Amino acid sequence: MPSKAAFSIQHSAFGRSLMMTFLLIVASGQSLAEAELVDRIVAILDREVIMLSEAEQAVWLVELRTGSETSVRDVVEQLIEARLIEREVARFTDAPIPDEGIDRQLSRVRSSFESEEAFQERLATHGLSEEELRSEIRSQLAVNRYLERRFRALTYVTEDDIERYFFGEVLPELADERGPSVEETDQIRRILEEQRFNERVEQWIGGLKARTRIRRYVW
Amino acid sequence: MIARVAAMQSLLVIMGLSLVATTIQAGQTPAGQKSSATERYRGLLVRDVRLAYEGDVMPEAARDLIDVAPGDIYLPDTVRRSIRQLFALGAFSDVKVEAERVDDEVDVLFRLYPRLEVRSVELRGLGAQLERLEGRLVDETLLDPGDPLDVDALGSAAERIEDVLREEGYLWATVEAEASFQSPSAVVVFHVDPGRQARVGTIQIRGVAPHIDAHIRREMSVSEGSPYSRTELDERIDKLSRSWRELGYYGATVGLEALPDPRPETAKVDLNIDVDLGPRIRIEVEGIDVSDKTVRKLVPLYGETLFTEDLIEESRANLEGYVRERGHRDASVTVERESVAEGRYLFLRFQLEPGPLYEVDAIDIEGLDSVAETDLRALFAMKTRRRFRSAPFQRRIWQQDLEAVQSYLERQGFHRASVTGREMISGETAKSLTLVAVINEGPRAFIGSIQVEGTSAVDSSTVLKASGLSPGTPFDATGVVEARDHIVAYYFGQGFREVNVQARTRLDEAGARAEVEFRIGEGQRTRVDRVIVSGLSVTRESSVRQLVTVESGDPLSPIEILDTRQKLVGSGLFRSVNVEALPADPVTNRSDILISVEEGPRTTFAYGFGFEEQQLFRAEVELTRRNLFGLNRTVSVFTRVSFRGGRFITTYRQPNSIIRNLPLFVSFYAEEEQRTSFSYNRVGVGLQISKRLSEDQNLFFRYRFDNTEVFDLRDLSIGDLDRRFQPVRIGALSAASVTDQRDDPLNPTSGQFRIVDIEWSGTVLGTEAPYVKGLAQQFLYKSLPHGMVVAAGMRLGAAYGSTLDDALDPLNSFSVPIVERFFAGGATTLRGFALDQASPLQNVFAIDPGTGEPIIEDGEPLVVKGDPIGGNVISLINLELRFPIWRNLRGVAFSDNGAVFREMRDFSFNDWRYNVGFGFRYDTPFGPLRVDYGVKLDRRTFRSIQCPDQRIPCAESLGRWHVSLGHAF
Repeated sequence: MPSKAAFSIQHSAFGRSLMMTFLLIVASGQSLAEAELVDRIVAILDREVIMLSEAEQAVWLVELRTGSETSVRDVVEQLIEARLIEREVARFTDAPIPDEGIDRQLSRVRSSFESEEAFQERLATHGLSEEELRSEIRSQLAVNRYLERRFRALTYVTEDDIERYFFGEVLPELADERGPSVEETDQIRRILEEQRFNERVEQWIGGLKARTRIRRYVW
Repeated sequence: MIARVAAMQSLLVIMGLSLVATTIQAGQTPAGQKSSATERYRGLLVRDVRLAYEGDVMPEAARDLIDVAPGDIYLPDTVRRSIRQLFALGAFSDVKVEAERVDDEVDVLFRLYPRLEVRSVELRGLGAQLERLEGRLVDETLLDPGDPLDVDALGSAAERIEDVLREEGYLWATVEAEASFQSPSAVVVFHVDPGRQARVGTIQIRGVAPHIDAHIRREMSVSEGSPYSRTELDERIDKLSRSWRELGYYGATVGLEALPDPRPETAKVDLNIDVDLGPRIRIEVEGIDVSDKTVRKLVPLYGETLFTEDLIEESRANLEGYVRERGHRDASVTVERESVAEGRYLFLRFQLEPGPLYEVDAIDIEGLDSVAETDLRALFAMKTRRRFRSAPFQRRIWQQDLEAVQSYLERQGFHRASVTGREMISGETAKSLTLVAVINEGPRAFIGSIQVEGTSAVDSSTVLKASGLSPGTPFDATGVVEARDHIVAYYFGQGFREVNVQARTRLDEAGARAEVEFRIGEGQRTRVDRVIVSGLSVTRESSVRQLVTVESGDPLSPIEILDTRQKLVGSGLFRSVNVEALPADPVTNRSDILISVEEGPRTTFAYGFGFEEQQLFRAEVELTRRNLFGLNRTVSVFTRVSFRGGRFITTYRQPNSIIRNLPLFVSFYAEEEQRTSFSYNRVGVGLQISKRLSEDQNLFFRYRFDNTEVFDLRDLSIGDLDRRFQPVRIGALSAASVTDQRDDPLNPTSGQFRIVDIEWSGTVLGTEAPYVKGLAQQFLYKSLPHGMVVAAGMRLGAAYGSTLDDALDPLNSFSVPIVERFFAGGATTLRGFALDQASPLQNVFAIDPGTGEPIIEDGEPLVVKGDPIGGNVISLINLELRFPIWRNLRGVAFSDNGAVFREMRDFSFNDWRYNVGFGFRYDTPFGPLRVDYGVKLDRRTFRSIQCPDQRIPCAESLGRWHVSLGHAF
């Protein structure tokens, strides 16, 4: 049984002021015809805002990663999850990320460009400084460490799980002939551990979302 | 063939550019590379900045929060920061920024949309049959008046209402949400169409015998055609399941499947109830003598709905642990299962073999070399057996003791210490244990040197001091971690929000010397830029700024922000206070502080009625007006009227007096009362200025003026009046210092409390009985082992008056008015005496009770002791030992000593009174309820009006009971 929200602007000061504002802007001779929207709020997490420009930066990153186009709206959802995770990690007091780890990651980034100039240019194009990049790397490593510590120990795979996966997903036709080899067992264990790790994290993220007042703007 | 799962990768990409770097292919510059709209304006000169507000009155603070100004270079970060700051104000639901390029410049427009609040939530269309659900349905909307209106959330709120209605049987209910906007709030209305309530169709119960089927139908009160309500059916199923569990069917499960008839016109719901009773389980616990309540607590099977092997094992382990913790070190519990009647019954027997009860005879310590044994013994919670005290062996306590010793040794620098325990059966019987703590101290390390590297803004010596570590002290790894945390906290307080501190420790080969190194990455220091206050309508901003402890240019300190918030909340002016540091400007590293407040109600009105023996029926009202003139000033008026008189009190308070930041408090009162044998009226005024010297010390400066007049005396003389009603006019200046370092004012166990008060009453101040008075009181509290507290108090005071009131009472000439003299005796001073009875007593003529005439002896009227008259000098010493008895009940033993003397020249320790006594305390939320009995060690015999025959001296009473609330001191 569908329900819908219906809104009415009744005789109200709000409605009148809305009209007044519009007239004021037009009457002042300041034309907005050529203006474009450059930034706005696209989502709110409790009192924290995510902005359109941040989502657009993230779109660039995802498109480079996947090679296919994506929309800002899809990326906003991922940004919401990323912010929720960062909040939790920030509450978790731990030893700082060693500089060596950050330097290592930064070197990998730098070395993937044909030259230092190309690296700097790419950063500048998207409004990032090297210091901001370091800060992002540090944040990334802190999150990775947190997730590993929190969820890795909860992921365990039994021999039965491996066999079930082998016979059910990989080579069901071998069910009566042989079980998985040592190498196959190892690979399946890694896959299943990764699956379970991801499931735990997704479940945890779902819990974070449920506890947070999230508002997604429509535009 | 084996796929790799990389579901997390995309998420992690968003979170960090480092992953991007691994995927960006070198040399690629994608054609038509997109950048965000805001980036296209980066670097252009801002020509104009405009605001457009889609509401009535835009908050003034908004303009200050926009960091983009004409003449600036357009930077996307600045625009983002401005949006964040505007949103943080809490006044806008949305913020949009538009830009328009004009040649090589840019015009920027900020569009602000007002934050709408929910004014009220209404439900329409429920009907009489659903009115009972109105409260619950409104709760389901999760909307409260004052909440921000989230239009997107109204749809889901309507769905939640529909879900509840369906649970109640209204399967076809529809709900539509409507919001009527009247800026800045909206009325939210949910239009409910419940439709028909469904009825129960067929009922099928599976899995049980026919007689149980009938029982279930009866217990669930459900039949074909009865109204369908899932909520009620679930409640009845729960009740049924609980009753089965009480009968021993611990694994019983009941599943209910509701199948609505696909033809809506029938409005019927068929029910399928699947029951699995499981075996009837009987649990027996043998070999242990404990109450049923304890068994139920230890055996969770009783309370669980699922009967599993894990629960059986948990029960077994609980029982075993319970017995072992009571001294049966070798106790074991086995479980026997017996299934009978084809599995319909299951017997679970927990058989306990307790073994001998071991008591701890002694605790030995072996292997100590450097550490004093007494220091370690103080750590043991395990008790040893004494003549009147048993000490059952508890392995858990013993383990904790060993761990406590390990921690202690590590803290003392024995970083390789090992502590193990041994149990030796000793003594004449096999039931005695000697516990041995075997210690291997290992080398002891001291901190040789502490290096601090990487500091630039903060001096190394300051950092070292903040760490709390110093060379030469024992090395403790935990202490180094704590020191690192202290350094981080120090830097945070100095505005270094991104400080990074790494601690490293190197021990020499012998393990005796530790070199500690702190490497500090200070990061940028953030300072306060502007302090912006928002939300004021009545309160003047100057009043708020007086309470703000952060100033422009200060380091951004979380402690100062918290302090500011506490002061604002403590002012009582605001219903809510939010103090937030906005994101810092990356160029200047300065951060605005945004203070958002919501002013509270300015006027409060209270009233009350009561009955009292003296005043009979009485009524009182109090009116308080806060924030007068917006300047954080408060005035209150209190009035009480009764059949026997009335009282009027008005008070005024302002945060500043003639001296800045010293609160001023003024009160005026007038009262009149008709008592049994006289009437009186009293007027008074008081002024007080207070200064807070520190967190626990305050100074008070006061002026008071009281005038008491007595009239309509009936068979009574002035001298007979209780001292509270003696007619006198007093004007006095006083200064008091109060230091309170107690851990708990109601029930202190440590610290001290000190008051020093000096008062001068001179004729220039309006007094008719000049005097000077001083009183010093000091109370100390100290915790002792085993929950005991020792308390000590000392009181010394002296008064000097220049006018004798011998005309009033020739037998008892006094220079200080009675209302200002010192008295002793009673529940808080000398507990062997009744109230005031340890004070100097009045000299009065003995009266023959038969004739009513003075008794003449040797030609002179006989003078005896009368009522307490007080004195000019007081000296008291009180000692008390408080100890726990059981739970909230405690006992005390006390000694109260001292005396009050008429004049300083009368002071003598020989005339001190000595009391001892005992008492009980019962802790309540309002403080301890107290019962004391004090005994005089030096009972005196003299003639007084208390004696049956005033001619014959009689002894004072032995002691006195006292009942009251709160400690004696």
